[in-house]
Amino acid sequence: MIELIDVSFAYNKNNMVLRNITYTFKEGVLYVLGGKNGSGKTTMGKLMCGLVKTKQGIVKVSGTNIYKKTVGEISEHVGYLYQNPDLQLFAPTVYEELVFPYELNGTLTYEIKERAEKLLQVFKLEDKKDTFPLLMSLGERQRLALATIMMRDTKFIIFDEPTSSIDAECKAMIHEFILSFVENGGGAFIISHDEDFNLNGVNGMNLRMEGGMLYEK
Amino acid sequence: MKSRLDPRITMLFIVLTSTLSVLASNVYWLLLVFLLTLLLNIVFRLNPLKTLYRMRRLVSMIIFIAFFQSLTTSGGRPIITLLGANIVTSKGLVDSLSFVLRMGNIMLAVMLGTKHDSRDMIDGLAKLKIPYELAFMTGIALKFIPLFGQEFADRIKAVSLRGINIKKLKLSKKIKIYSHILVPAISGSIIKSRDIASSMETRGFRAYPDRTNLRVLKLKLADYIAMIIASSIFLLIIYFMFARR
Repeated sequence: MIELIDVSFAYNKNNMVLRNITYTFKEGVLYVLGGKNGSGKTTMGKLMCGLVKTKQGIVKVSGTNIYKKTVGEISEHVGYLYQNPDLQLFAPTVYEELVFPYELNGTLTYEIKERAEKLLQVFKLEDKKDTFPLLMSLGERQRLALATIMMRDTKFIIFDEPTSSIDAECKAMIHEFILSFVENGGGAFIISHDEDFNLNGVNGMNLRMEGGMLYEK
Repeated sequence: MKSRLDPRITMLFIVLTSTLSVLASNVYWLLLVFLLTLLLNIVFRLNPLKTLYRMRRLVSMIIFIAFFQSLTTSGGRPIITLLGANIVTSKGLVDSLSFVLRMGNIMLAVMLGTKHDSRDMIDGLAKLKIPYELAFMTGIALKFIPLFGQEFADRIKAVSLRGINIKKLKLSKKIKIYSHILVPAISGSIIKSRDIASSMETRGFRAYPDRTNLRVLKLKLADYIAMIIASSIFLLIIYFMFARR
């Protein structure tokens, strides 16, 4: 659960992006946030996972104020899929991309390797296992970035424009994944220009950002 | 606010002050050159404190090197001794102060260039007979530095999102993670540069050997006066620095 309590945010004194937002995002619900370019959608997503911090208001993740946690600690609860997946890819191969944080932290186990193999299958990347990620198509890179988030067993994921600039097949795959994630009890927050994001029967909520305020549609 | 001087004159200021800071052999000359560049910054309406803040990482590195240099340089009068060993000597102190002044001067000199936009600087370089393509590439490269910095910072955040606390990693693992970040950051920049090059080709860049400009740079009376004053001061300092030894 992510709680925003009276949160305001400004990049500079004259440009208030978010104004006194109070809202609770729960697991098991799919939230779709729309709004014009520059209306503060991405800023709000980044605030929710600690990538951006503000002193005006409180952001709580699983009941704890995020200012008391590092981004790494917050990411155990909240995942963030960037609009540009390349920002999230570092390793020389697709498989290493999934396991390298565990290698670095010294926590790479047989179970972790199994999970990586399974996610490669889920996201149809098993034949790309030894490929350099940045040489893959945008849709494949997007799926890989999503797989890296799923490696952490996260309960809530923020998707920043997850289906922009990708083909229909990949779009459908990501859409299907999000719906099944929510059906299985996960929470999803999608920042999207796609006003008609198909909620397909899952517990969903359409939101709109305007003038720095958050509205339910 | 943009400088009203011709960008070539600003480039002259940068070259002269940087040259003096390299040639100055003692701390007094370095201090004089530093004060002159500081004065130029004030005349150009630049805030030196803001410069210090913007370059805070570089400044802290310079101070660290200077501190280290003061400890490792021997000679001169001992200032701090510990168990009979000279920790800091007068020569070490003067050398490290000279280093700080020299680097500070170069930083302040470079800041003068920020009072012109990259378009002006490219035109200025082209007027100095630097091949236009080379001048253009320099301009683009300078534009890429902050972009590259931002991309690097974003990737550090993305690594943190994967549950890696870089601060807590051992040095060998830190090096590994930075190499992981550096490779895509550089390849990303190369891809961006390639896209810019293709985009420029499609817009006719390099299609004709001679270029025309909407705004043609022309030296004005104020530019000539500034050039004469700057060159005279430069020659005077060089004369007193070397000829009267």
